[in-house]
Amino acid sequence: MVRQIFSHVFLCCACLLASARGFAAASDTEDNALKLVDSQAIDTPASPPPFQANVELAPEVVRAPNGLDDTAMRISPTVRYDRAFDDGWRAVFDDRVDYVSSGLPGGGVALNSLRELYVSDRPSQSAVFELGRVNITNGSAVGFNPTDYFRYNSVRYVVSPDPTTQRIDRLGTVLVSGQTLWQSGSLTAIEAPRLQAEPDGASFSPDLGATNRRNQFLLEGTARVADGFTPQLSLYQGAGESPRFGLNSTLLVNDATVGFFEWSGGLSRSNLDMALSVNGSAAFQQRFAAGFTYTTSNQVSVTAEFDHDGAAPSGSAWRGLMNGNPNTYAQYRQWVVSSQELTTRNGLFMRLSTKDVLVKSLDTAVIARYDIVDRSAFFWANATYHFNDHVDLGLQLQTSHGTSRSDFGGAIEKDLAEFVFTYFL
Amino acid sequence: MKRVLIQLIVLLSICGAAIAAQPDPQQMLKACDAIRNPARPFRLKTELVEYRDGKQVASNGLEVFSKLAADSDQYDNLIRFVAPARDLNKLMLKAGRDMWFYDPNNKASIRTSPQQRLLGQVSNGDVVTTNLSHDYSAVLVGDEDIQDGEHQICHCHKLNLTQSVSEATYARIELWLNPVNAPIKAYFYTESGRLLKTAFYRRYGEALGVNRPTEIVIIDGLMPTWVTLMRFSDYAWYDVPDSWLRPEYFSSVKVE
Repeated sequence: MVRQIFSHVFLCCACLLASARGFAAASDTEDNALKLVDSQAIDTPASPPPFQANVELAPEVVRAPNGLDDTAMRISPTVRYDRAFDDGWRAVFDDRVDYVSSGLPGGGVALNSLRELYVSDRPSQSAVFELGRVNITNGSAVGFNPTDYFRYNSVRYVVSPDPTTQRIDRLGTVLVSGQTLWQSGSLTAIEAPRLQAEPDGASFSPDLGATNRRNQFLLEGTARVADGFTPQLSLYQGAGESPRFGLNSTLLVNDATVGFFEWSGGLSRSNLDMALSVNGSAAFQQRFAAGFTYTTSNQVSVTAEFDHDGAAPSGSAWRGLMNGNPNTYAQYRQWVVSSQELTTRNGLFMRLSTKDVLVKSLDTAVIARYDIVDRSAFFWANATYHFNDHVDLGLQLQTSHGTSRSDFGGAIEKDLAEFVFTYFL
Repeated sequence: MKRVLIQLIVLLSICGAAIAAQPDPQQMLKACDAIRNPARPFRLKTELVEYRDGKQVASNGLEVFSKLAADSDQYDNLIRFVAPARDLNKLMLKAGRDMWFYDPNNKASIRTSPQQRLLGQVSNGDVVTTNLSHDYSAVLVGDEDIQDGEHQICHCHKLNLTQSVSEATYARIELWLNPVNAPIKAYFYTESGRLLKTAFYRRYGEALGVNRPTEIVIIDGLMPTWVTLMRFSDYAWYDVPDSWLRPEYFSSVKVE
């Protein structure tokens, strides 16, 4: 009996001691954290300067579909000047040069991309006018944007297959635009004139023919339908084309998931007819992308998207093209690259990204594309380590799978490894 | 007998006064909000410095523009990234449950979920201005003497806050307020009761007419050597235009 009592008393004392130690440990932890930050001197963040610049150095190894390897060095300086003035005016200049030192496609020559050069005026806090070359991007989807109407021919040099990067490294369109907002909606009108008949591949050409080859008009409106649901409707017309209608919408499904739907439809020729400059009959063509982005509690984001391009070749048409005239096939592939349409009718897109998950300051992204029509696939992986406030170190790997003339199997760069050193001024 | 009656009346009066003086925890939380957040639209600068195992591993400079939403007593916030250079002029909008991220380079406005963090260790909800009294129901637990963020013993009221709206960042918060309802310390919990982080509000200084905390030290609940220091400065009244709080307008937001 006495032994039992001693045993209980001993257990109680042990528990009390353990809990006391736990409390002390927690307090020590807090105290250590406070002492750590006590000793740190921190500067108040300065207002950013209007001038920004960075340069990328990127040695790469490329394997073509024929199995031949090539190495190259890409150097890409970028400058941006963005200044607002007190009276509501703003001036923006954004320029990038890509120089690739090899016999790769597009290599051995510098290509300048005058991405933006415009002025804007803000007569009130709810109205803006812009004049000049502006990179207008549109679309709620990630892998395929049917309502990104000004993307055609806008990329002078493809730096990355990541659609996010392609939206950065492209030419703006010369235009005049006006936007007005009110409490439950907004309206934007854009007019882009025809300035040059054909694209100009000269190194330092502004290449107005790439983006302003014809007159274009875009009207966009948003309307708040319900709390958290503000779809965007658009009407686009290029000279010689029928109007295209567009819809963009996003929805917060739950605390971790955002759904998106992007649609465009209108009378047009098939992609193949446009690529080959054939005056085929027009039909109502629909393009859309639907998907969602889910973020886990430990910060892994997954985007899954279904892409459909009704104007792109179906299974039989694509097989005919793959097995037909090589020149026709090459001409179509070239058009797909410049137009950023889908190669075939249906595809899947997936993007997985992490930030600070594996290692602090390390961002990773993996993109997978799958062509449902010819069952070819493309994978791209990127890891970027933020070495300090001025230096990023990145590694990109990509590979393609599929038969030799399939969507991804027939890509010019079958496999690629690229190291990217970026210095931010 | 008469003496006993008088004593009883005095005792009842004291009890009654004590009951009447019992502070309303929701009012205490509102008073705490008034100390944390200016009542009119304003801007401030925030420096975020992250430490792991005693070493600085990252820092961000932000400008925060806040104003009360038209139909609510909660704040809408536009966050502008001002450092480091790779993130310059990126924007984050938080308006109710809606969150958007904007990159000026690709001009893409991307809707994000509340769970997606955009700023290292801290939650998006930690950097934006929020009225806790809008998002949480408060219960007064009692009084405690605790160590504050400047290593001093502070007599505090302890509140237990429970999420009352879906856009609240945390499921439950334990919050210690000093006698004038200024926040001193907080524990933030998940729905399952796991400690997510500890925060110390410290280095009080005058800003826009009120003595406010100029620093928050955040300690990770799972990895206590992961520490984030948030330092606030340059408070100023600022008439934040309604258009800035709309994703359609992001490309035209420009601050000098």
